[in-house]
Amino acid sequence: MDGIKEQERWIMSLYRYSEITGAMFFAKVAACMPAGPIQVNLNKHFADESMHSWYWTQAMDELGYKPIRLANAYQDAYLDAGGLPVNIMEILALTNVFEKRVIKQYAHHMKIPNLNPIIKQTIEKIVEDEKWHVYWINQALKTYAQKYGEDKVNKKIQHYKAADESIYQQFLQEHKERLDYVFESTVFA
Amino acid sequence: MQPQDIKNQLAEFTKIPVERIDDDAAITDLVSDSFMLVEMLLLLQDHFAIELEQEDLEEVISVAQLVNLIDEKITAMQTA
Ligand SMILES: [Fe+2]
Ligand SMILES: [Fe+2]
Repeated sequence: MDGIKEQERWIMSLYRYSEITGAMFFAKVAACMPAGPIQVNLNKHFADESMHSWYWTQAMDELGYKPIRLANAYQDAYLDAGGLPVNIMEILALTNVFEKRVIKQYAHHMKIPNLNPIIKQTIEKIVEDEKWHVYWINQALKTYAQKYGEDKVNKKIQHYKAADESIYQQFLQEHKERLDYVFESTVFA
Repeated sequence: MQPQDIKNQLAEFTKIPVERIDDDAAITDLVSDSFMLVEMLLLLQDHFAIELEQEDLEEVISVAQLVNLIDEKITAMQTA
């Protein structure tokens, strides 16, 4: 397998595993939530993340890539850097920041010239859902702002944003060689 | 009775017999990963009708500290 294909296989594995981890996390949260509109949206969110992992698995299969088993998910770093969220408002604040990072990362990936159509279609399909994730969480956070105060909710979001920024920079450093083709966008040109 | 109730809930969630849950044990040792810890904390809040925040848990490492924290929250809710 040449270098580019190896990089592609690695990043698709990372996306796949990150979607699986998201699904597992939201499965647990959805299972704990009392009945109500947030439970409904959380359950849909969990189902979406699970489908996203399936789309990546399917895309890798079509491209002949075997998913790499990864030791850590990208999300693990959030819990280390930002601390464990312990109530639903904190979980949603963290997720709000994380979902935006996901959308940005997928947008970066879409900029690769001559991107493989299978990858392109997979990202397009996923990003539609990710946008809804940001939307419903923003709406839910507005209702939590009434309960906790806008200031507290915003502070929590800022707290996770700071963690997100440092995690992402660290991630870029750590996997520089593997990510070059996403960010330099010249490899396929 | 309250602290014992809290320990019983920990035992029920973790499936560890309550007599084997040591007060000095780290709460992270009761669970297999951080997702399970989040789940446990959500269920405890629901069960005891209390609310925890990230800051409340900053100093909490052991089972005894978690039990104390929840106990205080329950008392605060009852007297509010
Ligand atoms: Fe997703
Ligand atoms: Fe998402």
